Amino acid sequence: METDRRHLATTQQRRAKRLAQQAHKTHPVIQAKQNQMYLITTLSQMQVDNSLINRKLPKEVFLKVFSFLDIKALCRSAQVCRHWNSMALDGANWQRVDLFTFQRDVKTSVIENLARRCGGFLKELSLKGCENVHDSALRTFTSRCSNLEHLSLYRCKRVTDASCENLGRYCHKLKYLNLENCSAITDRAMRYIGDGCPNLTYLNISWCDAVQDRGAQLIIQNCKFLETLIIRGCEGLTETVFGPVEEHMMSLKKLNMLQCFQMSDVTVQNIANGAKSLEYLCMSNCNQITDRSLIALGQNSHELKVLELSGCTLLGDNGFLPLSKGCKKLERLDIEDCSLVSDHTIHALANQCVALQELSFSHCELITDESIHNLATKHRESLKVLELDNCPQLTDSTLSHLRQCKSLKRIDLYDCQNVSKDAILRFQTCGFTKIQDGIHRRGENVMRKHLARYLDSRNA
Amino acid sequence: MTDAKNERQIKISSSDNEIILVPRNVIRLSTTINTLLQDLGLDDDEATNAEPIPVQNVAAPILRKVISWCQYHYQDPVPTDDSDSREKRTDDISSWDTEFLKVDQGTLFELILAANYLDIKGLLDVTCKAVANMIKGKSPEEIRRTFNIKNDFTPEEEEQIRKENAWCED
Repeated sequence: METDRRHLATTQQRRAKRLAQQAHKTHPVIQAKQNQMYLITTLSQMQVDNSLINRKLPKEVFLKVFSFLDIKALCRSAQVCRHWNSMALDGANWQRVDLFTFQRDVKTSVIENLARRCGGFLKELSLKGCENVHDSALRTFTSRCSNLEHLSLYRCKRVTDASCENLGRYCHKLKYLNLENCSAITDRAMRYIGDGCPNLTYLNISWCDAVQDRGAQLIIQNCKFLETLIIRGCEGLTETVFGPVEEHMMSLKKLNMLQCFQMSDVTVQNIANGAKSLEYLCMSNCNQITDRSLIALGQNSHELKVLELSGCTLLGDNGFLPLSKGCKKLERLDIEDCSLVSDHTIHALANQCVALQELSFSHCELITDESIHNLATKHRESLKVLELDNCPQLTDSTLSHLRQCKSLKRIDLYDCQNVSKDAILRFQTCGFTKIQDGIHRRGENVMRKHLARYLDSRNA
Repeated sequence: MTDAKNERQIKISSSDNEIILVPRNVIRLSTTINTLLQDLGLDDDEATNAEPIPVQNVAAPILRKVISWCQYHYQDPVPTDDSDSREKRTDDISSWDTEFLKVDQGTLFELILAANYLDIKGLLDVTCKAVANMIKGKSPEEIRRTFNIKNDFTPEEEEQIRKENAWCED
């Protein structure tokens, strides 16, 4: 009896404690209303207004003007008058937020207020380069802005799995997620996102070394609409990363594996087997892959339009011949430094791939005027960019053949010692093509290329 | 692209009943008029339209200015929806447009209204950017002075709203 009563007392105490705790947590709906009250101080409409702008411009036009204002200008506009206040706080202005201008110094209070102001309106958020942003800030955003579709955390180095857990918990509409250089994230993050964001179409986890095979597989398995996967320099992945998920790669269109040194022919075979709709593949600097990879792509990847294989030095004619036979839609090919490639490859490409527009044969030292002649004749309408730097066998005859290519925008001829200045001058006087010529030290040339590629990847 | 001078002329009438002739290719920039011409089947007709198209909301001086903008820009590449999602740039106004927009506020607002009514995306964008540039970098008081706006907040409201928006200031 005594013990019973004591027991009852303790349960009551516990219950009271729990209720007290809950009292602090306001019901979500009430919370939302309170926020709104704080946000838009209810103001009665103004009566007379003498200013031309307020009399002339209707709301839709005002919102158009405000769509060109940054966050700071919007917040100042909100303080001008009652009319402007209601316009500036209109949800239409708070759908897309880019904090790039705040850079490192974006304060927690800014994040808090911004998240509160944007609320459910926010669809697109870029915290690119905000290196000091912590998980706590992301928690605020994810919990308040659950309609988020597009999120860039590029270089937010302090972001961890915890943020991805919140993304998975709240932001089920997420389609685009950039986690490039968020080096703290692991497979756990991939699990949360795979579970909570089934609509993802774009994921970039480049240079996230802690992500391993299991993490990448969870994303591919769970995100059925994934079209773009960018895993540049992910050293945690192994050559068999795609093996168990081949059949889930149907929707994949773009795959970038730049500098994943550990990838091999096995990896490419898995990709070729699974990703039947693949249009873009970058395996530059994956220097283990051999002709077997190209054969696999030629057999399976008939939709391929862009293939970047710069620095894959083991590749040669035995791979590129079957590749050109199978990948007839190829528009862009980069085989810089594939120095085993000879005229046979160029002939095969010229004869079979009718859509070619941009080609890089830099440092393919075996190719000669003859194959470029064939290429120029077959693709005189379509060819736009041709990188031929460091192809020492090419002579002035190459340039005179290229004169028939009407769409050429750029030719690179650095370090082609057998092409004369005169020929370049003659070429330039008869067209609009930009020729990049002269003798450059190799180092500079590589730098320039990497810069161009970097800019490309940023625009992608 | 066909020469604007040899192009079929379209008659439009302003709100103050002035009739203005515009080459078909130039007025194409106005989505409103363009769809009207297409929907009414006036494009099939080789001859100039007999009845002028009424543009009720725009007076002749503004309409002429709008047309001169279209004359200069009718061969521009068509803006894609993609450029909509780009960043909020306002520093990309061409020098021709900058000259064109050196007008008083009243004319600028009339141009905006005309561009909005006639649905000329490029002109609406550039005019709205011009107004945005008049707002950017200014304090609330400076904005009020620029547009002659009366501060209709009570002192308490003003203080409250200042607090609510202080977070974006350094």
